[in-house]
Amino acid sequence: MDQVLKKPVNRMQILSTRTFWRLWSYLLPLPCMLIIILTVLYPMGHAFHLSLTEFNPSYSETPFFIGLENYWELLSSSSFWETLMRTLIFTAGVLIITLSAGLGLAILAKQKFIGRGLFRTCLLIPWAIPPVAAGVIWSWIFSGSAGVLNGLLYKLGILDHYISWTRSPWMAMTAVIYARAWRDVSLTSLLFLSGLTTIPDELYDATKVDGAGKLRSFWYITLPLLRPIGTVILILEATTAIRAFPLIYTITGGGPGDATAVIGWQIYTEMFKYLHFGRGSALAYLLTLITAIMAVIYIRFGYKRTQYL
Amino acid sequence: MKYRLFLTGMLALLLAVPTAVQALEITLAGWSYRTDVVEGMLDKFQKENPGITVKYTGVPSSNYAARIATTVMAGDVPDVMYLRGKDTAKWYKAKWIQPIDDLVEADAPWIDEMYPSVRPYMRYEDHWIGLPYYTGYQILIYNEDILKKAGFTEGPKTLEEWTSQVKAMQSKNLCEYGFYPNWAQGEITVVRDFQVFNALFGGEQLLDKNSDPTFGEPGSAAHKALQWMVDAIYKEKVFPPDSAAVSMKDARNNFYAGRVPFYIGTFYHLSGIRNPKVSKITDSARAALIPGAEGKAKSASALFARAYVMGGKTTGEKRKAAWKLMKFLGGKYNGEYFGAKTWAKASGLGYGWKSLEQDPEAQAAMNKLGKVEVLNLQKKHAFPQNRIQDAVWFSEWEEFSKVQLNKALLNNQSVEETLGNVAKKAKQLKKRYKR
Repeated sequence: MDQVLKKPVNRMQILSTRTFWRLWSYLLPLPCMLIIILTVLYPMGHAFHLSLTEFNPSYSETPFFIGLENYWELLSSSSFWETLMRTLIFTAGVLIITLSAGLGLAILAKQKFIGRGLFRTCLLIPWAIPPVAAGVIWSWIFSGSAGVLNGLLYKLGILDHYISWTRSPWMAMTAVIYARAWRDVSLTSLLFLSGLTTIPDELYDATKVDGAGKLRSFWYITLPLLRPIGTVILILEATTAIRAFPLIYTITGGGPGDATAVIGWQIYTEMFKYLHFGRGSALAYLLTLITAIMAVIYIRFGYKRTQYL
Repeated sequence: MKYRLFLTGMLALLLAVPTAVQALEITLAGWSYRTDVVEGMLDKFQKENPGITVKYTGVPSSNYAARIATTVMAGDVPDVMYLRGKDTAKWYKAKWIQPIDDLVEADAPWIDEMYPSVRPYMRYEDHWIGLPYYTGYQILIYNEDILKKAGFTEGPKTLEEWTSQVKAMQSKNLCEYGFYPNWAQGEITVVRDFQVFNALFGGEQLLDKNSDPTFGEPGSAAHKALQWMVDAIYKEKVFPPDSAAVSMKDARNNFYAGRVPFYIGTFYHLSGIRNPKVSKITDSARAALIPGAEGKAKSASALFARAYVMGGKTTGEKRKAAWKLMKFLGGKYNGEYFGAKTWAKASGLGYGWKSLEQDPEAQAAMNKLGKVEVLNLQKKHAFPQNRIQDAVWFSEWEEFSKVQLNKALLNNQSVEETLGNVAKKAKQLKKRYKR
C-alpha cells in the first residue's frame, strides 16, 4: 500500500488522464447535441434563411434573397398589428383564467378531504388530452346544432333555442380563450400545488398567533412565497398561449371574420394555404422575438424580485 | 420432416419476395369523402392490374390543400391526386402536377364525350391536366312536410317568394329560420354561395378573362347579391343571425333534423338526406331549382368540377400505371365510365360524361335520390367558374374574401366596403404574383 503511495507521480500521465476525461465529457453529450443540431438548430437556421427570401413554389422554383423585406412588409402592414393585438388579448385572457383558477384549484387540492387523491388525479386529465382532440371536443360543445352546452342550457330552461357559441367576434374569442384555459389550468394548478407544499406550516401558525385571518395570511404569506413558481407559470403559459394554433384551427378556423386569427393561425395560413414560405417564416420569427421579449420582461420584473423575499 | 417443411416454407417466402418487389406501387391522395367507395374501386383496380399496387391516403377535405403542400414540400408528390379548380394554377405552376396531353391524345379517343362546360376545368394553359372526378352545382333542397303544413305545394320560384314562404312558416311556428347557411370561416361554402347569388342577380364569373375582378363597381350584381344575403339575416330575418358561424355540420344537422325547411347544397347531398342513420327527413326532401332574383323566375347556379390529376414527379412505368388508374377512376375503362358511374350509383355525384345520361343504372340510382330532371335543368342554368383556376393567386384571394364576406355577414362592415376590399385585394395579388 505504502509502495503505491510513494510511487513517483507522473505529471504527464495525470495530464493525459485529465485531458482524456475532459474530452470524454465533451464526447458524451455529442449524440444529443447532434440530434438537437439536426432537429432544432438546423430547422431554425433554415427557417431564418427562408424568412429572408421570397419563396412561393407557385411562382418560383427556388427561394430568392430579398433581405429584410418580408419583415418590413409585415411590420408596416396594419393587419399584422391587428393580429398581434388579437394574440395579446387571447394570451391575456388565457393567463388571467389559468393563473386565478389554477391557484384556486391548487389551494383546494391542498386541503384535506375524502377523495383528495382522486381530485388531484382528475386535475391532470385535461392536460393529458392532446390539443387537437381537446379542440374537437370543444367544437362539439360549442356547436350550434347539437352542442352539449346548448343541450344542457336548453334542458335547464335557460335557452329556448340552440345558438352557436362562436357566432360573434367576442363570443368566438371568449370560447377559444375558455377552451385553452380549461386545458392549461390543470398544469398550472399542479405547479401551484407543488409551490404551496413548500410553504412551511409554521408560517401560517405564526400568523394565527399574531391574530391574522385567512385572507391576510394568504395575502402576506401564500402569495409572496408563490412568486417564484408563479413567475415560472407565467412565462410558461404566456409563451405557449401566444403561439396557440390547434384550438383555433379546430374550433373557429380564425373566424368569424378574422376575430380569432391569432399569429399562430396567420403563420399556418401564410405557409400552408398561400404557400408564402418566406413571409410565413418571417412571421414565425417575429413571434419568436415577441415570445422572447415577454419571457425577459417576466424574468426581470417577476423572478428577480423574489430573490429578496 | 418438420425441418424440411420449414425449409420449403422459407424457400417459398424467398421466392415470393421478388414478386412483391416487382409490383409497381403508385400513390393516390384525395379528400376523404366516402373512403369505402374509393377503397372498393381500388380493390377492383388492383385485382384487374396485379402488377400495380395503389397506396391511398384520404385527408379531411378542409385540410386537403395544406396537407398536399406539406407532403410535396417534403419531396413526396403523390402520383395521382384530387384537384379543386382554385388550386389548379398554383399546383401547375409549382410543377406539383403535370400535363397529360400525350396520354390523352394516344389513349383517350372518348375525351370528346366530356361536357363542354366541364372541359375548361380539366385543362390549363392549353394543356390537358386531368379527368373529371365530380361535377356539381348548387340546388335548392326543401322539406316538403314543412312546406305542406304551411300551405305550399312547391318550392319557391323567386327569392321574394322564398322570403315570404319562410315568413309564413315562421308565423305558424313551423321553423325559426328558413335556412342555415354554412358560411363559417373554415368552410368553402361562403364564396361558393356568393358566386351562386351573384349569378342569380345577373353577374358572371368573379374574374374576367384578364383575371381582373368583375364586381368592384357599386350597383353591380355582386353588390346586389351580397346585400340580399345580409338583408336575409338582419332585415328579413329568414336566415339566422349566426349565419357567419354556421359550419357545414351544423347546417346539415339542422336540415336533417327537420328544424329548417330549406337547404342549399349539391345533388349528392340528397344521399345523406335519404340515409335514415343520419336524417329524420328521408322521405320528405325534394330537389328544386335555385329561386330567381329580382322577381324573375330565372334560376342560376355556379358549376364546379373536381379532377384527378397526375403528380409532377411521376415518370416512366409509374406514369403509365398512374394514367391507367386515372382512366379507371375518371375516364373510360373497359368500355364504360367506371369511376363516374360508381360514384353516381353510390352517392349521386355529378359526372362529366354525356353518355352517362343514357346509362340506365346510373340514372336509376340518381332518380332514387331526387328528380334528375331538376338536376339537368339546373345544369342548364349553371355558370362555369373556371376562370378562378387561371389565377394563380385565387386561393389566397378566396381566403381573404372569406374573411371579408364574413365581416359583411356579421354586419360589421358594409357591402360596399367589403366588395371594395375584395376587388382591391385581387388587383394587389395579381400585381404581387407577377413580380
